[in-house]
Amino acid sequence: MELTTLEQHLLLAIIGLHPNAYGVSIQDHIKDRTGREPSTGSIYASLDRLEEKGFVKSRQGEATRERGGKRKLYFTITAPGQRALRESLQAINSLSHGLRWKGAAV
Amino acid sequence: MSEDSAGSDDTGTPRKVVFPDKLQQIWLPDSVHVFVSHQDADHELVESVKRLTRDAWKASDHLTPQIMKVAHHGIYTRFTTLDDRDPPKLAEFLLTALLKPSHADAITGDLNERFAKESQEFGQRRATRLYWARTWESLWPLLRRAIGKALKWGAVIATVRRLF
Repeated sequence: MELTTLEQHLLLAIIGLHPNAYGVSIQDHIKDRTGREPSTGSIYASLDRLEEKGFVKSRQGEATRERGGKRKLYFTITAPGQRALRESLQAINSLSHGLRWKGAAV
Repeated sequence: MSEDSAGSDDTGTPRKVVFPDKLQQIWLPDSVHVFVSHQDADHELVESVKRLTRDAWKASDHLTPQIMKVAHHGIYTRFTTLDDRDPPKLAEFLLTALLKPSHADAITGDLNERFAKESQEFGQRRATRLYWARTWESLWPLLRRAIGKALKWGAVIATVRRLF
């Protein structure tokens, strides 16, 4: 099963933040490490897709006053999700292994 | 000067604010209206009310003062509850319309969390602008996802109809 770059980032963030991976923390985590901030909408659209594929599962968390009484939704990676992520990262590693970067002026 | 309580915090503890004698107050369940009649108000009193309003605001995180009208000789100040500092409702509605309920709650909660933080850091006006910016940039991916799901279900239904 192929994963998009954003899906890879999301799965890696979910593993890194376990067990506190929810929308805001995931977004901050990705921004801190990649310098790119995916929109809240694209995060949830991708998480919805990953959940449908069975790669992540969600559980409702606490509602706080600053969130307007809305509950957090925590995400955890499933075994099939870990497998898909590992295969996806291995594919990139295989493709980039031993690559000689030509034509790029440093 | 007379001493009056002007509202209470979440725990119900009355908050004391000193108001000038000439000041009249109207108490409503979710807000406190304070006004000074035109003939009584003078520049000094107007300035005094402005200062007290600012002090009261600093003392409480759940009442927002809004100086509604500072006329030639009068002032009308309203203290309201947090409702006026809430994130934009229309933006919330747009997001919730495109997501399943659990995700809709989570995404609006996430935006509210950022809004609360940014309100304190940058002020409400900028926080509201950022909230709208995040909503607009979120709409397209969510809309695309919703359309994709609808088309998928449409294709499934069409296939089932063809078969039976």
